[in-house]
Amino acid sequence: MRELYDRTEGPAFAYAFEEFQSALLEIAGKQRPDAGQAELFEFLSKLKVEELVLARACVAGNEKAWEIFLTRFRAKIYEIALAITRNDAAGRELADSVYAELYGVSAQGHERVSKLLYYSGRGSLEGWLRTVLAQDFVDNYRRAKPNVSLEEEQERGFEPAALTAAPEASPDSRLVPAIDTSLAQLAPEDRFLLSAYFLDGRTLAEIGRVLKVHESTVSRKLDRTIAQLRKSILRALVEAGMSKRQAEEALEADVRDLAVDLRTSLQESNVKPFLWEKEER
Amino acid sequence: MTGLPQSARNRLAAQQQAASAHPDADLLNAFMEDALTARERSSVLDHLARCPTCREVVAISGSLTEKDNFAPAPTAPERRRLWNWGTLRWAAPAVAVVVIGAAVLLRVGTGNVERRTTTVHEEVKQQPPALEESGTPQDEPEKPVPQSAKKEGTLTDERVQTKAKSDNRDYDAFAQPRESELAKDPRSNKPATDQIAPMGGALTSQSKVFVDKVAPSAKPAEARAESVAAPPPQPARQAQELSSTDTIQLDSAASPVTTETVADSKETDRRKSVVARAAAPSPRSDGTFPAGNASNTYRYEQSISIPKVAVGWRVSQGRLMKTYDRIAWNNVVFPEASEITTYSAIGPHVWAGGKKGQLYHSIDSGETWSRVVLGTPTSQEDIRGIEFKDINSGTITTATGTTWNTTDAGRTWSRN
Repeated sequence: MRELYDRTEGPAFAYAFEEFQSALLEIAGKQRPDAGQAELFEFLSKLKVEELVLARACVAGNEKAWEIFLTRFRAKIYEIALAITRNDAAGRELADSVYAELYGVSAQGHERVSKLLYYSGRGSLEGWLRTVLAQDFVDNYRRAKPNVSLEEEQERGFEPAALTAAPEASPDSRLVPAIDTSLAQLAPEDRFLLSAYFLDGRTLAEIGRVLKVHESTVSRKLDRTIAQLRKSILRALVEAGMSKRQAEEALEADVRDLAVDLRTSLQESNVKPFLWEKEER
Repeated sequence: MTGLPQSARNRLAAQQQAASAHPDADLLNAFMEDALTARERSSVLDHLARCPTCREVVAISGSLTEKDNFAPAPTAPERRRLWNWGTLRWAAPAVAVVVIGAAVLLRVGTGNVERRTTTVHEEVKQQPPALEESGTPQDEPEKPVPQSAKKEGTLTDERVQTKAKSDNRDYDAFAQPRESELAKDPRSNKPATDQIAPMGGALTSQSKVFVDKVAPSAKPAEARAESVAAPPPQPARQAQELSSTDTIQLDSAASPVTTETVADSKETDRRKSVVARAAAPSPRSDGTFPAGNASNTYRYEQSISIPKVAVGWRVSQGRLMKTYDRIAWNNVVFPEASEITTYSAIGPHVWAGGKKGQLYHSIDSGETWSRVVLGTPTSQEDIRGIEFKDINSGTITTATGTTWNTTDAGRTWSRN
């Protein structure tokens, strides 16, 4: 730990080794409660301790730490907020609200807690700030949404597809369990792919940026996942007593699905990805 | 791409749920930066597959990361031999042209600087002493100036104007440390030629900074003619007054700078901003802001350019509101929950006061706010009026009629 501490600007920020040690133990206790000595060492050595110390020194109110933090991130926070909201006033408002949280705002006289306290150093501080801004933006949007009247909502025509509960329709009672089982058997990444692509309407490039793979890789994975899912559902239906032809018909030519298709496509004709909806304002 | 059967799609949508617990920003960021173990990553992906809100967050966050942050396309790269004859055949003449061109440019550049330095140096010698001591340019009668000096001054100004317009950031970023050096370096009292001479052939804004700073002693007539047409040098004087009260001495160069070229007025505006920001207090450990001095904050503020936008203010229902276009008004967010009753704004300097002694000061048109405490934290009275004559002098009136005065932009207050 001393070696890790020596890599940081702790002494310059009046952030003592004991505080550093206690912060690391707290983080390790939360995120690696059952880790052995070797695993713990590897975990701690991967932490971005320099930025962790900067964040903790800011929480402690060290002026030099705040000076460095503002030098490095002030302009970035405004840039990111502007890029998220695509609107100058809204961007400033978002950045200001995050600033307030970073400084540590207390409601009704409770003890001040700076949001920087929740940064654990597992990723970069800039990435953390970006995620905090994105979370605040989405939270604010969701919070403000109930205040929008139904007429306005219809005029705007925006409803994330994922939140639209699709009506369940199946000609055969065996189809739903077969699909659910097959979906559950998919890897989490494959399910994420399907949700992001088919429910959120994300592009292959957007999904690729999240998964850190090229869009052509996403395309191939998506094809493979769909084929795998289809095969799995058909197998489950055959195991449930259907013939192969019946299973294919149940999966592909569902009369009630046609109605659902129509309804869903009507609903989704106005659906736009979240980001582009903001752009059009 | 093959389609997903509609039944499967419906079931996928049905499995989406508004989860009550979401991964925190720390975990999502670690996921985005590939800093999770395989088990953690799988767990986050499992949540993402079911949670549209978190998918929005990672999609937004992912869209803001570097675009080339993902793995390259898995296409087989074309194998080419670098040192084949086809390449070398064109590379050799190209290298020769570049070398010759560079040599010619270097020679021409060096010659220009030598000639220019000599011209300015000669002009310094030719200037009568009375001209050096004269105050404002308006007081001076027009005197004949050598053609070479006129040409030289015009050229220099054009260079700087072009540079300043095309690359403000570079200019500002460069000019500031140079100013500090001038302030600290006693050599800055030397004539222009002493400082220009060692600078070599680089004809950048660096050259202009020096010429401007020592302009009164070696000021070309062209520059003086421009200064007459320029607006009165009030901002420059304000900045000098400010700097005299602060620990930062930006203009310790002995020459009384009066030239108001385009580059100079930019310089003056920025100087004002830097000096004013030097008084910005930093937060204490408890999040409040001291009213005292915090001179070391000026360093990071220098790199931040504040957009010059006409900002409007008003107080409505206990909130301070701000507008850039007089149409859309936005609530100003303060570090603490506040009920604002009054404000005063002079340029980017904004004071806002409210109930229970809540007093905030912004020096950047409300981008950031610092809390100012008058008296002791326990004896806080409602603030009824804030009146600032200029950015330094102002009076604050409380509900009980007590007035607080400042003459140093709010760093110290006296009670009446």
